[in-house]
Amino acid sequence: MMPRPTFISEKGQFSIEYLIAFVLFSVVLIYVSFEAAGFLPEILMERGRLRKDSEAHRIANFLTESELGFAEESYLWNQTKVETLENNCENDYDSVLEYLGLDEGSGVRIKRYGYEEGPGEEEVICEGPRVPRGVSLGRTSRFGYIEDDEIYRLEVIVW
Amino acid sequence: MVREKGFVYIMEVVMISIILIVSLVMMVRPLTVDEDWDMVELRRLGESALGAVEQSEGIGELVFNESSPLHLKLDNLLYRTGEPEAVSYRLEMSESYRDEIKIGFSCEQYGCDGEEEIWQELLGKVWMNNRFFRLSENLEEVDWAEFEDESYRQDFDVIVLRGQETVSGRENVENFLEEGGGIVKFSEASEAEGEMVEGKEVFGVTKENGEEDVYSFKNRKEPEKENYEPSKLFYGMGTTAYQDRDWKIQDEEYSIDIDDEGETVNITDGQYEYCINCKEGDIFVLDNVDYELLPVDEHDFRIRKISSDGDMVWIDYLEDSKLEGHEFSSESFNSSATSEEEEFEVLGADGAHSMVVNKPYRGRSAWISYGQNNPGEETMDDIKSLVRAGVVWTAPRGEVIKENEIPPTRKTSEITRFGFVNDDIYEPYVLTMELWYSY
Repeated sequence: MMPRPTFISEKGQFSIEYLIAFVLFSVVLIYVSFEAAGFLPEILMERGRLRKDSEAHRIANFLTESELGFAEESYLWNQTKVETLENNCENDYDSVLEYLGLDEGSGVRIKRYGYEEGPGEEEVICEGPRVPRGVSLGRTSRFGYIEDDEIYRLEVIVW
Repeated sequence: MVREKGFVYIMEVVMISIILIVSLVMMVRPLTVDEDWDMVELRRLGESALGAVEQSEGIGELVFNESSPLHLKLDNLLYRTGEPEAVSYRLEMSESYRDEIKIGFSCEQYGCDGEEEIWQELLGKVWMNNRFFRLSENLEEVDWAEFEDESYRQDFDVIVLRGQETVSGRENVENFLEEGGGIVKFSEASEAEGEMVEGKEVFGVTKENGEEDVYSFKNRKEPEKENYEPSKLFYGMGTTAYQDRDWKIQDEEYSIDIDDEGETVNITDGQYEYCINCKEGDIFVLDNVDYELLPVDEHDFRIRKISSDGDMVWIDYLEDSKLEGHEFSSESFNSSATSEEEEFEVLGADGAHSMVVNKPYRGRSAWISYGQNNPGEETMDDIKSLVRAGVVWTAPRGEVIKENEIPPTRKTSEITRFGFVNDDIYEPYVLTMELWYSY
């Protein structure tokens, strides 16, 4: 009796090996997708926050250490320049954003805290629209003083 | 054969799948690296706060200022800083002279009645570098039986010994010095005859060539050596004169009369007037001082400060180069110090007085020799300056300005600033600030 050739009966069928491989591959794919879905938003948020932190630092340095900002010399700020920025921001917030090198859709809030009347006396220097929900915030502070006045803390928040 | 072949395929697939799963997960999961951005931000905050204070008011002005201390200023500045996390900090000063020194005195030889008062008189209250050194306010009798206990020893910065008083127990001395403490001995050198072994190791004194009453000490006039600084401190301390008693200086006595408002002072000796209506900063000369002792220029004195309640006045020994690292030392009291050899003499047979210093182990020791068997209340005011300089020099340096416990899980950012004050004496300091997020 002639042996029956095996390839005839297996033609067009999935072998058990291929089925197992397909299932395992699918499991791996689904697992990796879930993993990525878990940490990717976190990475993107962290990236956004770091980017905004970096922007906040850049703006704070520009304002407190450059003559184009408030600074006259190290840690000494010019009150007139502070008031000028305050007025510019009140009249044309978008041009201030452009001056500070921020993209459209970004925002900035600049506050000054004094200590003469007790800690944390707040004064808004520049404030645009409300901070949108869910955006990454960058925040930093710098200290300086006004001649014949007191030491202030400048807080810059960028989104 | 067919079944076995299929079985092997399945095993291979399973193994490859496991390897795939493990390697993919490892490759795809991001490697977490702490970028330390928060620590950078903390450092910037601290540096910015200290920089603003330095530029606007001067850290040196605030760091020793009792009414408006630096840490209260920083408390205000850092209030709500770094939101939403709160920023905490710890501030420590090192290298500066300690103005609150815990001093222990021994009273086994002369009895304890009145011993504390004698030391209060000797140590007094010094105004130096824009702050008070209240040396007489932290005095406590030493219980030698307890002194073996390290925690008890730590209650003292400096041990002061007068006349024949001595530290009980050689091991106690070594331990105390090893732990950074200071010992000041105030006695005639001959009183220490029996303690010379201890004297040699603790105070660095050696008896010279077996001669009677002639002792020598090391490195007398070299600014880079240990005994340079105490002599500088002697000038920094100045001298204190009181309204209700004579000012005894360079073997003469003068009357002190301070006005009720504490603004002017008169210095007389019953025969001559040396300083009438003198205000802070005024210079005067004591004409009847023996000019052979010091060059004429160095006889000038200056009113450093008059206390607001009019009971005492602090006076500078005015010596032109005292702030320039001059090696002029307390041994100038020894009038016979002319030749190189004699400059190393501590106490000659004539009973002149001087100070010997040493730095054994981690601590410091000073021996103020004086031509009296039992030096105490009648001590001249310039010799009191020597004793005070010895106490401040031997005390450990620096202090914690703001204590704050750092949570063990918190990372900290550290800032170090170097500075100095130079109102009466050059005094360098190192300020270390550690910052962390509270939560």
